[in-house]
Amino acid sequence: MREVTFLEAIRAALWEEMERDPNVFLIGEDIGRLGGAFGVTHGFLERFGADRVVDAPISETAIIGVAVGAAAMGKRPVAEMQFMDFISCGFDQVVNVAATYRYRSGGSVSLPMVIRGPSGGYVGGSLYHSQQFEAWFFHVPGLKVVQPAFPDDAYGLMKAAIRDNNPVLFFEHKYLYRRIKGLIPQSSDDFIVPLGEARIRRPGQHITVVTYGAMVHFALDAAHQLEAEGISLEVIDLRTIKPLDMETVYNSVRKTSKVLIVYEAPLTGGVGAEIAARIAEHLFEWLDAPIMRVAAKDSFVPFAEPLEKFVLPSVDDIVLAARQLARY
Amino acid sequence: MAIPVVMPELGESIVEGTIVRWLKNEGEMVQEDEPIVEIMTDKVNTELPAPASGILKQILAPANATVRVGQDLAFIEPVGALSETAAAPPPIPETAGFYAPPESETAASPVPEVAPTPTEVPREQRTGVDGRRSGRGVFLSPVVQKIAREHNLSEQELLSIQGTGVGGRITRADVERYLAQRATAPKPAPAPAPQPAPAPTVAAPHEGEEIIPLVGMRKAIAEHLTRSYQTAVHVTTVIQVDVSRLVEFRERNKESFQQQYGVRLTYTPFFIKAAADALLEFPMLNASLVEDQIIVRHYVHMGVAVALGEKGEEGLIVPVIRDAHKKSLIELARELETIAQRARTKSISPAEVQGATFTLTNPGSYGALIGTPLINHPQTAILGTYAIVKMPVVIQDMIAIRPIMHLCLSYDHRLVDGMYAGRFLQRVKRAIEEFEFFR
Repeated sequence: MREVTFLEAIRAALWEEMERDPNVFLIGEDIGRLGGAFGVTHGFLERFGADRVVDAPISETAIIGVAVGAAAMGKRPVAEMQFMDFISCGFDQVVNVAATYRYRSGGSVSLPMVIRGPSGGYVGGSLYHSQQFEAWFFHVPGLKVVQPAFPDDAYGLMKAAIRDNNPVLFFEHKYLYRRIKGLIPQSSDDFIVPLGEARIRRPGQHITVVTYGAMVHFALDAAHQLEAEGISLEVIDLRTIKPLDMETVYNSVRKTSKVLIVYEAPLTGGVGAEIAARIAEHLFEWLDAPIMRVAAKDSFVPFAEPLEKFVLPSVDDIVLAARQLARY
Repeated sequence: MAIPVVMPELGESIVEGTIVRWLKNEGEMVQEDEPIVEIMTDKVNTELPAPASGILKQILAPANATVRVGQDLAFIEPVGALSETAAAPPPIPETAGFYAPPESETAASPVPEVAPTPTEVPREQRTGVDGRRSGRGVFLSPVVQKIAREHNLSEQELLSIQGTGVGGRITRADVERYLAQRATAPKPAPAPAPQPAPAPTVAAPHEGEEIIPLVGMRKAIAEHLTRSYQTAVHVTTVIQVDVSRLVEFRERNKESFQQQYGVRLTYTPFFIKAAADALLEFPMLNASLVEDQIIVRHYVHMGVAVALGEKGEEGLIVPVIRDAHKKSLIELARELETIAQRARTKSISPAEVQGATFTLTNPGSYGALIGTPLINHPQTAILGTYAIVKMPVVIQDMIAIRPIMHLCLSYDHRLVDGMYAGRFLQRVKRAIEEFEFFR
């Protein structure tokens, strides 16, 4: 085992997959000579050369489009969005081209590609460097969507995403990049975290908290605080948002009968809405309280720190909602 | 089938009550909602209404008996349909209606089968364990209904469980605890045969309404404030206070104060101190008018209003700081924190909420800018401290920005006139503005 930051875990996974499989290559803005805006691909150009670490022009459509074409021809591209906010510029390539490719080709062509990049707030990144766009892609058949919270998951899921034969969107929360450290296995272990499996990060009795990304850490903080009040939260880290591992969620809800869903994106139409709907649909008779959600306000992420804090969900928001549920 | 008269929850902290006297005798006819027994707790005295019309069959708890909340006090045997209920829809047979009885459990769908009968039954009147609401207007969550059905709990048995959720809601944990206890407890007398659902105890509310009986603390507050409002001649005088020095002092010292004395430095102790000192100089505001005598006090027992519940939904209690005029600021801060905490956790004793000679209320804590507090009868005055807000003020013909607070004094005009009240307020204002606290 080695102790690494969240960012280093992703870097290690990319590096090891490129060592393992010559079909894996990277494409993105400033990922070569600069080593990426956050340094995820630092040193890759020197090791793997310009054919496999491609500095692209500032065109997300082109980056994703090239990745689609290469994947269709049997390569395993990993396309970096400098910030996931800008994936909107390549939206058509993702939802109309990449997502539909296998369907359109009658199953004869698969697209083993990854689109990865930093997302999320809490870093003073302001409007275009703070958003959580996972819900847009969550809505689209044919895509897989991943957002890990811990280095070991980031490492194992990135490897799984690269080896998966479908387009995978990999959201890396930039707040976690250098804040969170953890142990990851040695490269010789060939460690993989399968896509589509949630993980109970903290077992509990009273309330099921379903979350992912940076919110996992917030939920764990809240759970720690509430322990003193005798309120026990079971924190489920979804890890993969699409496909959803509802079995893990259902098993927990059957135990607690109370659900709090936490996500960082704006409340309306978020991933939590779908989770709430599925629980209500399948586990109605197991509920002892309304399903609750904590999410960002339906607004944009402001630059000013107090305003950013106001818009985005906080540990306090989770504590308050959980207390309300516990009392209900 | 006899309907139990249960010791109700008379307040969040109250776990038991004492029977003062029965207003009806065994064998007497009682009407639904008619007071039948007087109950005393450490906070309130209240009359308990009959849950149903019928004959008061058996009194289990005689006068002076102390009974825990949720326990049975008596049984009422309903006698047929009474005239009031004649207009109500006929009782719904358990086998009809929107919710299928337990036999149909094989249906896996959580969506209840709709019976072909086109009878329109108002939602509030649906009954039975499978119904959303029981006759007592209790909400049963899906999981509680499911467990009850799986364990063949009768509605009566289910509703006898003391709920610990919001508003006494029966939670999943409550039912599971009950089932565990039932499994270990000796079998009680054979359960009575299935009975028609008990008659609702309150008039069916209209769509979108609910009906809550006025009991416990709310009832005590309602009665007390009505008496105050009808007795005292209320006038309110408002004064503006520049709290620059106070705000600055607090900001500068709150951390060291906390470290040194282990208590949070809030504004309230300053206001208590300023008011208590001023009351010694203006004793008529610290007096009570009792019949044709005025009791003037030369000591100050300061009542401090404390709202209960996150949104103030659990009422209000006024703990008392005794001999506030003799206490230092630190003593006041410390006592205030203790007593307010005890009030919030409902562990305050009756003695600690009695005997105030004057009351301080702080609507500023929820941002109120100005208001007219109601006198806490039989006191003569109440001082409200309102939100501290930065405002433009004119100082030596220049406009300055200062933190300003409104002090609102409501007083009983029978005892106190405007000028006296105004002078008192000036005295409090001076104490706060000139910051005389540490002399």
